[in-house]
Amino acid sequence: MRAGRLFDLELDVSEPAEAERVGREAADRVLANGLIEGYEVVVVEEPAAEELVAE
Amino acid sequence: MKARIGVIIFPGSCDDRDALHAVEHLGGEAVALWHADADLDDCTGVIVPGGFSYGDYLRAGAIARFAPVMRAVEAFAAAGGPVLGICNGFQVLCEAGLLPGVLRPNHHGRFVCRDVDLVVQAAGSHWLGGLEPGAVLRIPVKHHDGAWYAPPAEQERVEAAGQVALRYADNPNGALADVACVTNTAGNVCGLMPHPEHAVDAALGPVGGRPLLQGLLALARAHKRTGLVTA
Repeated sequence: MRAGRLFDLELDVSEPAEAERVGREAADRVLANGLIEGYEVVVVEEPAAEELVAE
Repeated sequence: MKARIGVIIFPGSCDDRDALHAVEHLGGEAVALWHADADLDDCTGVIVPGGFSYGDYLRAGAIARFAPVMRAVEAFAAAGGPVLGICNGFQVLCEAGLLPGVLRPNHHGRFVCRDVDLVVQAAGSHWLGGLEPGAVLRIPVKHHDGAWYAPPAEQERVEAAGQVALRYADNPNGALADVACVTNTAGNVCGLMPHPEHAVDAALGPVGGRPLLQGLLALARAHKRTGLVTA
């Protein structure tokens, strides 16, 4: 059996690479204990306002 | 000379009062320390008590390690000050990197609450008042996440360095190698899942907790004499 958790971080950054760096830092420092837990960081970009209007 | 022992109180701590009482019961001076404080109020020994710090919502002990008072505890430990982590306090010290390993959920998935017998290991004398290896202490446990674990290389290092102070005679939680109590490499930081503060008064049950807490008091008195007292 495998149990997992999903953390949804909302970040005010301009680049996906910066978002991933912050996400990994949060995972390493507090969200995961590396002795017993692994993690995956997935960056999801928020649609621009005009894209939302177009939809 | 009384040892001045600080007992940290986090939001969600529940065994701090028993720890304060146990220290006084054994002849020490007990001082309550608030989690938001930045210093240890001239204490020469520290107890990080049991409970559910900050609700333990993320992972047991994972939030408490960031409390302001923990910066002072880390500095105190680095200067050789004696620090005892009990149950949730053990989890906090592991999360803070002051003790090796981590506490996982009990292997049977249930909360366990009962007296257990703990066998003194060769390395235990530092904290256990010179008890001989093989001596047995009866102390209660009460936890859901109490199975000590370390990756194989780390466990091997901990065993070789003599950092295992106590093992369960009858493992209640699936702890690796029956480990119940470990110290740091220097030997001044100690953590265990059983509750010595609940086992000091014969009127209330077993008294197997006395040697550990007396060990803390002795180490705190010695630490005061060395002058290595940090804020």
